[in-house]
Amino acid sequence: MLKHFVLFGLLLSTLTGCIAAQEVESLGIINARGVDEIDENVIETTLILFQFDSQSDQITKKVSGQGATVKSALNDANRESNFKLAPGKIELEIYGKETAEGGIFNYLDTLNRDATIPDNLNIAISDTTAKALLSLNKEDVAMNLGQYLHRIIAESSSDHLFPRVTLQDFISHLYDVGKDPVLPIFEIHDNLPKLSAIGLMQDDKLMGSLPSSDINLFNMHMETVKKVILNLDIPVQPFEKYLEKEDFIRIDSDVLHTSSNLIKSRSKTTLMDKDALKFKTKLSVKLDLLELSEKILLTDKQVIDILEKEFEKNIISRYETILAKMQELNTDAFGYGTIYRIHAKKNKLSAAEWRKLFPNIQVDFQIDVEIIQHGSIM
Amino acid sequence: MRRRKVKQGFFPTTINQLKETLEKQFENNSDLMFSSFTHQGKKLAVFYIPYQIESNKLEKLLKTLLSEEKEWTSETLLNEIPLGSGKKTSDLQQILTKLIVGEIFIYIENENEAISYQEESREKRNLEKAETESLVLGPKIAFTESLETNLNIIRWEIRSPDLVLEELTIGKDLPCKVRMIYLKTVANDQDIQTMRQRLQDLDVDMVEDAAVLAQYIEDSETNLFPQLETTELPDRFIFEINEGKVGVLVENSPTGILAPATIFSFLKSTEDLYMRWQTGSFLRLLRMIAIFLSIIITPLYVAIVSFHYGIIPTQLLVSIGKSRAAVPFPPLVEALLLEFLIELLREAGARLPTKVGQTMGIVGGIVIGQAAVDAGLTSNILIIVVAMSALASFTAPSYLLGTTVRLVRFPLILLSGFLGFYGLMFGLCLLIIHMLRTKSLGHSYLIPVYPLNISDFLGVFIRLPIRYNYKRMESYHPKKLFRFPKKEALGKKHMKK
Repeated sequence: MLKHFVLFGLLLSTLTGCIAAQEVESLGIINARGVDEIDENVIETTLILFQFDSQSDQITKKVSGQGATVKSALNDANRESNFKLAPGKIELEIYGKETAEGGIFNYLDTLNRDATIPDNLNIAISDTTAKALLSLNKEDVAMNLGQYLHRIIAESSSDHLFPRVTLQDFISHLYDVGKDPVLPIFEIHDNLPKLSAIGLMQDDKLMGSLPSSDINLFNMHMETVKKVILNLDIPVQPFEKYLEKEDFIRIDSDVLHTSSNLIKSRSKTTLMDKDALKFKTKLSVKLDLLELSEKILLTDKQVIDILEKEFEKNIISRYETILAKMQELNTDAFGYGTIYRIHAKKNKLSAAEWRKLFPNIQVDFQIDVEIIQHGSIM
Repeated sequence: MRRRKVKQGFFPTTINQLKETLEKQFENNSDLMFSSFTHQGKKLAVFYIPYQIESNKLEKLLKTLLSEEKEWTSETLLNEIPLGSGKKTSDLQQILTKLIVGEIFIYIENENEAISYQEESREKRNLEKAETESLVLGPKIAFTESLETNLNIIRWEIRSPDLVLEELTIGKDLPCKVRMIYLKTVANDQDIQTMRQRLQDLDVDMVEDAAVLAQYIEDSETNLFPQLETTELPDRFIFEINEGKVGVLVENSPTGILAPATIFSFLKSTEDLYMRWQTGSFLRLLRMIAIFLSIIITPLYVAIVSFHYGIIPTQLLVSIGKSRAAVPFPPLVEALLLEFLIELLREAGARLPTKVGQTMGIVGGIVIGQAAVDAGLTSNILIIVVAMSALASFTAPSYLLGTTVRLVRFPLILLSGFLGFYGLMFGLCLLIIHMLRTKSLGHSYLIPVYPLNISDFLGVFIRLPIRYNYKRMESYHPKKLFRFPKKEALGKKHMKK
């Protein structure tokens, strides 16, 4: 018994050194990190820290450093802080636009291999540089900027406004043959950060972006979407004879702007013809009509039918534009390649093969719009 | 001290000689009352210790003795005085012991033996409410120091000839009566024999209290956990006896011992039974979670704040960081300091008179706690953590288990402070191994989790609805497994007018 106690005590006292203490109050806990390649082989990193000092109420701090690698830039940045920088709580990693266009795999790979980095950190791209985004005036944000940006991503992803991309998601899409990752892009608008576009990536390189107005369509293609506002613009002309004819109402536009609440959408993509590279994407959309820019008599059942038809046409044409853009950039964010791969010989498809095939695919979009309610208009 | 050897056949002797011998035995002890008188030409002696006997009974005895106009002999004394407890004694040593426990002796000169009557008077306190194990519902009466009172309570509750109250005497120099109590139609024979053997084999000078006896007979004394249940509640005692456990009551002790016990039986309360089953189950589960929390929460805080900041949610990180920034000590020292403070408060509260003790809690809890934060000695998050842990440890119905929980925390805090989660896991593993090796009357301490018994599982973790609670613990192999037939108990009728 005594022998056990002595052994236990010895082990405890000698092993204590094995684990380095990381006491919260002695660390500069990195919350967000920005990476910019400012020159050939010179990386600038901008860090938003939490640091806790009894003599100051200021708990967030921004430091930056330069170096040939991210690690050395981090060391450089540490000289600006009297706390030891700790990466265990990074929630957001931001890359400058130019850096992202040059490829971010190298940075991600080290992140992925570092066990102290949390796996659920979010990745995003800054429309300008990461430094500019992270150097925004704090008074407008009124909280830790890293936390603020992270919350924008988290909130919009939970409302299906924007795809949320964690390190793990990105890496797995990167290695997925036949599907390219996407990343959210932040722009600076009135001195405030704003989620503005979806960055389309070809492997790890940013190729182009989809505007924020296409975000809902993009999401509807990827997953089941519920309860978002869908704005569609359709021509007024087909509704000419259903317009409310009042003297004081003038029709001053040939475009009918509509807003609807998307109750539920569901999409399914299938491969129709393997050799001709023909796909079919079926999408059913259920809407609750909220607002029309012109006064149209909705009491007529036919109007609803025409509206549904026009919506379908509009959505199809917009999907075709999106697809054309993707094919031009050669980034398959919708993942048609994964469907093709299932039907390929022995399920084998190399990334290079799909790059050659993707610009030639044809997709038949079959959209079925159903207006369930329009009570808030009439 | 050398024991004086007294030869058999001390009698017959003269009254004077007897007086001389007895007074020698009671040297420097003015307690012995020895009076001799002549009745009908025969010399008689009556001797006793005044405060150990009932004086009006003595008067009655003497009245009958002196009013009869006849010559008394030992035989006629025994036969004609209507007091059932009359006994013959011819051994001096026995006379001495019996004198002490309140017997009145009458000796007629030249007889071969002295006659004694048991007329002891014994001071005892009245039945009172339970103090350490207080209940909201159900009977509130507690055991007292009088064994007779305790037996009386139990007999009235279990009015069955199956109830066995075996008498044993323990203690060589200062003997003490012990009763082993069980239901002979229910309790497992092996348990009964084990308990009997342990009590009989005990060769000690004296037994101070039931709590001491429990430590003498428990399975392992190096173990941290109490292995025998102790209770001051007769209803709990009776309930467990009916479940097939073996109980022990000790003279002059207000505590009953019950065996076998498990860690879960310490977390049961008879109150669970008096409540509706939903609330009873909820409270029982709450207590189990609370005990686990009480052990783990402070070590967890220490480990996270010293080593694993990554798992703190960002919002919490800010408040923990802010409050930690002002504290000059590492988390380990901070936590030990505060735990020590809480233990001080508890101990002070327990030692102080009740009225002062209440203010003590307020002074300690609020004033010292808040002042410690303001002085920068601890962070306010830790105050919450430590207070929660202390509060959780109070939920154990058994005070003994509560104290063990208090003790177990400290090594875990140390391990967490030195090695973080690795240390905490290591400590918890050691604790579980320790519990696995614990035995109570030869049964596992973790029944029904280990060895696993599914049919006992529900009954232990959930207070089943009364009608479904028809089974005793299968793991203990009671002679009668079913308390009542399930089918008949389930029948409910509505009488029509």
